[in-house]
Amino acid sequence: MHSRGNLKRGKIRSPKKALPVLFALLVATFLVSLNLGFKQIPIQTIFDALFYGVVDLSPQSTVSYVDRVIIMEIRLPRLIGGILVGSSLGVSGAVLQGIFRNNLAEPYVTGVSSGAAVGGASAIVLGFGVTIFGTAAVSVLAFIGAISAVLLAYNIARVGSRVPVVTLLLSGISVSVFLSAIITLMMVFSGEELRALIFWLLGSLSSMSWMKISVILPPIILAFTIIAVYARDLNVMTLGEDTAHTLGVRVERSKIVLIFAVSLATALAVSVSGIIGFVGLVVPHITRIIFGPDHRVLLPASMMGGAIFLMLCDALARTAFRSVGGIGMELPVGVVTALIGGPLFIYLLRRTKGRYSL
Amino acid sequence: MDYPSMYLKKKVITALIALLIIVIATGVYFTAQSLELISDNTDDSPIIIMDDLGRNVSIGNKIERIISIVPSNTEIIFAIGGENKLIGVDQYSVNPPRIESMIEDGEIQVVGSAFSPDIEKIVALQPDLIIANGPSMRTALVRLEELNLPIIYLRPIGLDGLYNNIRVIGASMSLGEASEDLVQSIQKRVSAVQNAVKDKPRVRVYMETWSDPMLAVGPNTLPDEVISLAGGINVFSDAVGQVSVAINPEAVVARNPDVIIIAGNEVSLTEVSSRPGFHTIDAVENNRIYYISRMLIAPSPRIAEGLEKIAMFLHPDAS
Repeated sequence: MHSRGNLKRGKIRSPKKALPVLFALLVATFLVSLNLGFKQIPIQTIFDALFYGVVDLSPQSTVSYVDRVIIMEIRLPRLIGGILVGSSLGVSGAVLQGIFRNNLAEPYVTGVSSGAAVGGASAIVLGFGVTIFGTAAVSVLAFIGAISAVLLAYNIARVGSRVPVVTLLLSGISVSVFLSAIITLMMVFSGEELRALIFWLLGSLSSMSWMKISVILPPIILAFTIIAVYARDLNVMTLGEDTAHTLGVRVERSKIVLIFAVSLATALAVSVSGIIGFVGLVVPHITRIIFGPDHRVLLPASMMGGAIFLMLCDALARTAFRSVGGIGMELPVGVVTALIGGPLFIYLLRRTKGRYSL
Repeated sequence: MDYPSMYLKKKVITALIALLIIVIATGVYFTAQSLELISDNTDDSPIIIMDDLGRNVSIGNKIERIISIVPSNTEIIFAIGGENKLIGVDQYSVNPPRIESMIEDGEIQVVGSAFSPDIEKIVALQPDLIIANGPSMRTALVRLEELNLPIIYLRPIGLDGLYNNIRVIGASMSLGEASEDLVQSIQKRVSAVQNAVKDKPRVRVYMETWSDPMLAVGPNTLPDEVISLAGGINVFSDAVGQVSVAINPEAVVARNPDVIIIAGNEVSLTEVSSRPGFHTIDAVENNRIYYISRMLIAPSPRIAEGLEKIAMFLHPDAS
């Protein structure tokens, strides 16, 4: 049994045992969200659709063809995409907060979001949706932009082979600010593409497809695996880098690997869904309060928490305006996460009054 | 257990799990064949239409269920008599007025906006054809393309673009005759206006589409063309080609238009004339500031009405 040392407790006595409960919550949210939408499709129909959809398109199936298409091609990819994006953002936020030893850190602080925004915006404004790569151009360029921005921020902050954490934070933020200005400039010159650009930037899960999922799933799993392996090191690193070094942790290598993994996961998430904020900021906070700061529990909890949070926000985004005047407009999910995440964050701030630490 | 071997064991386990998931994911992807939305009417001779983005779209020749997510195209559909085939529109399609009652009765559903559409609703309505403008709407609608729903992107540039729109929409709905009639009726009205103003001196016009920041109508656009046809010159026709051009109020004062037309935005005409420096403009001195609804300068059948109105502003003495 290890000594607890500097790690404080969360609200739950045995966090490890509570993880399955969280997983159950995840599954429940998933099933409920599958039900919601323009047509309320009952559970039995959903199971039929899932079964027949994957195994056999038997004409004897009682599920109407359209319902099946809606579930298999629209809702299911959308929810699974939401789980992937939400968990990426959640765990990335938790990791970065650990590395930077700063609770304000979140996945976009490395420049990922602004880089993705510039990449995706270029694709939209230059009309690549029509020519090269087809419509995947936006995602591809967004990914390239995101990774480039992180590399830029990293190289600015690098001193030899070390990366001072504070410098990295500052360089990431300044790269973000600069790239945001470029986005605004692009908006000025975008002409008829402006509205498409704005809605893409606000983030949306509505363009999720199996193709996108199959492309991002393996690299995201790779990133998660890497993060899982370094979770223990992260615990030690929160004691301070010098302390961690003397305790045998290879600090610089861990930092680089973790930042790489986080950037990869976040870049993938942003390239398929646009920029969805607050998930990476608020979810690690809540899970830290409930589950405590031990990263071996905190990271999986943030993953699942992020998935749950995003699924709920997406359900809200899909259904909020459905019945209002029958408009059928969908809110961009980034708006919902901000509307919910913002006040939630303020509430957490007030409640803890900074009393809890990493 | 000591530190290093525990580490290794964990690495191996997680690597195996990851591998397993990747294998499953690949399996799922290949077995879950993408369900396509095939329309029920099995036609032997589908029509193939080339839309304005150069895509060849194959549509059935019995189009019964159409969704239009651009208001100007919705107006065209009504004008050629195709509204009984319309089952869905965007939230901004409010013309002609009788569409409101059709929506209330449930004959037509509202599917959100073109840039933020309700994909599920569109799919659930099982349309035979979706008509949109491109390429800017493509990002939001690409999911429908992936589901093999027939979707046409139109990109009307100028009056010829409008005529092409009308013809393509008519062809896809098998209303070729009606669409040709519509084109000709618009052309007649355009020619009438051209004749009435052809000997008149050209009037210099500043058309504003937004007041904060100030946006003027750019060259190579439909409103610009309409101004020319109405016997005017767009004072900003030398601007860099764009739909709307962000301008400096000083530029308006410097170019001294004879007529100012405010297109659509809510700013009172007195407010315009009281802008700093504007009192030196001919248009303000002669009180030739007019207002026109944005819907009359859109690529819809009512462009003829817009043209006539603008001609009246510029040359009130013509017939």
